[in-house]
Amino acid sequence: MGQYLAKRVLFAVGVLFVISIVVFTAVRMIPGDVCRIVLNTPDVTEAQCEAIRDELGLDEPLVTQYLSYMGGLLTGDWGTTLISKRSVWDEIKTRIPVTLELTLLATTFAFIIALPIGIISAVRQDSVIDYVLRVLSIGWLSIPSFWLGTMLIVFPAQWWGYTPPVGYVDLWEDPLKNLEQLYLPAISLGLALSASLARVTRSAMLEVLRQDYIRTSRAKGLGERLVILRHALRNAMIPVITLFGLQIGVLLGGTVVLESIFSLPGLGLLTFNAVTVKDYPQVQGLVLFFATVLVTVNLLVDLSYAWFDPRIRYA
Amino acid sequence: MEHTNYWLRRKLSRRTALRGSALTGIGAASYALVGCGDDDDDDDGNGGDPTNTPQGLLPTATSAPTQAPVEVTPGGSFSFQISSPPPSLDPYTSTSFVASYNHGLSYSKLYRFAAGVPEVAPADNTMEPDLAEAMPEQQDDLTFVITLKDGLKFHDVAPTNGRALTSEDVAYAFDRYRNLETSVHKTGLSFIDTVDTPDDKTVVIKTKAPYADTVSYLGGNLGVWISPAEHAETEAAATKMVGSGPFLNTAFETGVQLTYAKNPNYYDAPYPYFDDVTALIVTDQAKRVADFSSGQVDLTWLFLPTERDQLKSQRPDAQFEETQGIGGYIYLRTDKPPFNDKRVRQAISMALNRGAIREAISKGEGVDEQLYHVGYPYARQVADLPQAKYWEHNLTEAKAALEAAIGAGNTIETTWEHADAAIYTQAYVDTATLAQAQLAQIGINITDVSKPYAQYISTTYQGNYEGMGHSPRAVAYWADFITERFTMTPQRGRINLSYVTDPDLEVLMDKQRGQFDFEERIETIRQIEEHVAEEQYEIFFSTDTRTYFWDAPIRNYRPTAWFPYTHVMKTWRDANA
Repeated sequence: MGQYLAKRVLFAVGVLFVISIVVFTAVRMIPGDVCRIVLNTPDVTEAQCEAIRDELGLDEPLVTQYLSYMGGLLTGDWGTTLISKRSVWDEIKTRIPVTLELTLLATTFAFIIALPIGIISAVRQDSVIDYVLRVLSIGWLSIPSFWLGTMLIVFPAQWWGYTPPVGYVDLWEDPLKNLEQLYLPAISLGLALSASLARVTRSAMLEVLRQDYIRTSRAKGLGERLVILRHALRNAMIPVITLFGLQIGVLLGGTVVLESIFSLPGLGLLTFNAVTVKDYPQVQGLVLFFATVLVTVNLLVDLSYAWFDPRIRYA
Repeated sequence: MEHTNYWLRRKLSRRTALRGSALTGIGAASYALVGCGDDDDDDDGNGGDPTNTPQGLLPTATSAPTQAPVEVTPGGSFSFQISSPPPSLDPYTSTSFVASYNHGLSYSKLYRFAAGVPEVAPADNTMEPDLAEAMPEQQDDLTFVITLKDGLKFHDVAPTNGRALTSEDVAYAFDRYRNLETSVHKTGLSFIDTVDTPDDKTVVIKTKAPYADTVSYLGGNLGVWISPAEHAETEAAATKMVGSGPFLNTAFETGVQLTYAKNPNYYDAPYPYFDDVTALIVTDQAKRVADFSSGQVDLTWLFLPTERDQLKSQRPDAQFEETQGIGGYIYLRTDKPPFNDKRVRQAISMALNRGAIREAISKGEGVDEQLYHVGYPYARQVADLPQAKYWEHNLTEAKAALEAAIGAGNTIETTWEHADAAIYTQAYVDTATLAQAQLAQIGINITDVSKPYAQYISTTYQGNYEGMGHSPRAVAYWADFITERFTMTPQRGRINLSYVTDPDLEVLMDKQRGQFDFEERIETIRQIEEHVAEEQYEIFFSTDTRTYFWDAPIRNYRPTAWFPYTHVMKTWRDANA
């Protein structure tokens, strides 16, 4: 296990290294002069541009810039944003709780919806309820989260004059108000995820329910609930968890749009704003951060297989 | 062709313009607004009689501040929405219009717009004294003597701690605007020669040449806010405002909101009335509508007819005003074939079916636009221009003009660069799509090039393009805005996207810049209008209707075309409403 973990961590570091090079290079290849973005006016002289490039280190060779950037990262210096001159890491750090809370709520919502649907669909295969639930999940899968989010804003406002409270409030400051601000984007974000999870749960459950040990469990006289929840579901979870790990990227991508729509000060909104004003250092830092999260989550997902299925051993 | 708009129906236009300190000016960004909708204002409601300077060289201005009604109820909170976060709050290095909204709450300047109260029309650019005690004394065409008010103080927070604001602070600000390496206001303020401070209360500004827009520029929103040295020279200047304005900037939560508290030591008592103000950053249009519908915000704005009608039905109690939004335009490379031939440009204008575009994107509302936005009190409607025929949709004439220029049977293959809808809205992109289809009918085949906003601004909008481009316009608070559009002279032109080099136009532009007599200046402006209409250096689309909504109990508020939100200090909430 230890050896496997070490290998995976080393592999993850390698992946992040490659990503850092790709992101660093790609950001610098985007058309447009950075000094005009910083000064945000056509009225710019070459001397001003030189001063800006010098300040940002952009007059150095690309390799020197990269080494300097990586050196900063390793010592905790992610650089400063182009225009507001705030610390990139501070900007990311202060927004992590919002996005974390939103994705956790969305995930919780998705699993609460997906597991019962998947289980019921599998247990009642080819029944009316199975068809209804499958149609529903396909429908949810085809609804874009940004559209659903917009509808959840527009219609309650139109019908009942209701919208979630404006001006983000921290969870620890006012938990109820905070949840009221987050539940609609969490539903928007979680619904599509729940649909795909439900479909995978159903397939996995169908496969597991046909296994010999399930038949044996029933033959031993175990109750159906126990057979389903304890013996079948746990074994069916591996593909579900794998899918969830892969969907983390989709979830994080969804936050970019939903946090913008709902004015939530998380990493998604930060990304949206940084891309809009072409804030290179911020975009660079965010992509690297998201990549780290994805790699880490997928590593954890791999490691979790052993818990769901004790027969799995890592070497 | 439509001949009327709000401006033509109103009584105030010409007289207000004559009273106004100068003409009109420019903000820094996309859509700004002018015009007015309701009929309850009148021509004389400026809150004070116009006053002339002894020499009569300067335009007139109102006395300030407007006397508050006796039944005012001070206190309470006020909130409004802005559509994106200000990239930086540092006035010295920023031209962002979103930042300007906020600068007006915490910073002061020598003069300010009188607009923003019911008596003044939204696009009336009349100035009133802000830090100045009165309008400047003009000793000659070049010298402006400005006396500051008594008791001016910076905010009572670190690092200024309530210290006095003197003429030295004004001189410092203008020195920084004009000389800081990263200042973005050098060209705008290039008309200033010297700024002297004979004593703590007096500022003497000398211009390099007679400049009729001096007061308008000093009261605008670009390169005029007085931010003190001890704050301006720190990194905090980008994320916090410490000035002498009506509200203290208490927080800037990026992506969420900017919050303000009443400045208890504000020099223009009894303002401000509200105890606190919040500028909510809401990027999504649907959420802006929903939040106002549900009563969670006091003021919202810039809605096109579809959202306007939705809000009217959802909030029948709300106050609103419809304003004329300035129209966008096509720019093109007039320094190269085929667009160096004015017949091609005229053909393009005649091939555009502006009425059809209005039907498609703004419920048919709006009127044809020209160089001087038709919402300016001094500008003419397109129908009143001798060159009005170039705005009429006439494919036969358009084809004839094009054939005369490039030969029968030939076509033009070109590109049209524009930003995507993220910042400038879908209506802007739809306008480009429709116009391109219309131009194809006369043989101008266009390859559409859509760019992300930041890329567009840093490439195409810097003049790095071939063929054609398309941009919204900003409403200008000084009449000389045309100089920056049509001259290649360094330190005069800011952006000449159509690459215009026209000695005759230069002469006219130089002439109007030094004309302090309004009627004389208008005559020159008329000539410029006609010259540019004939040449079609820029090809204009139409105005649209933009609507502001505000809560029923809000009093003494009216929309303004100008970006600073200083006038919120005069607003209050009627507790009995």
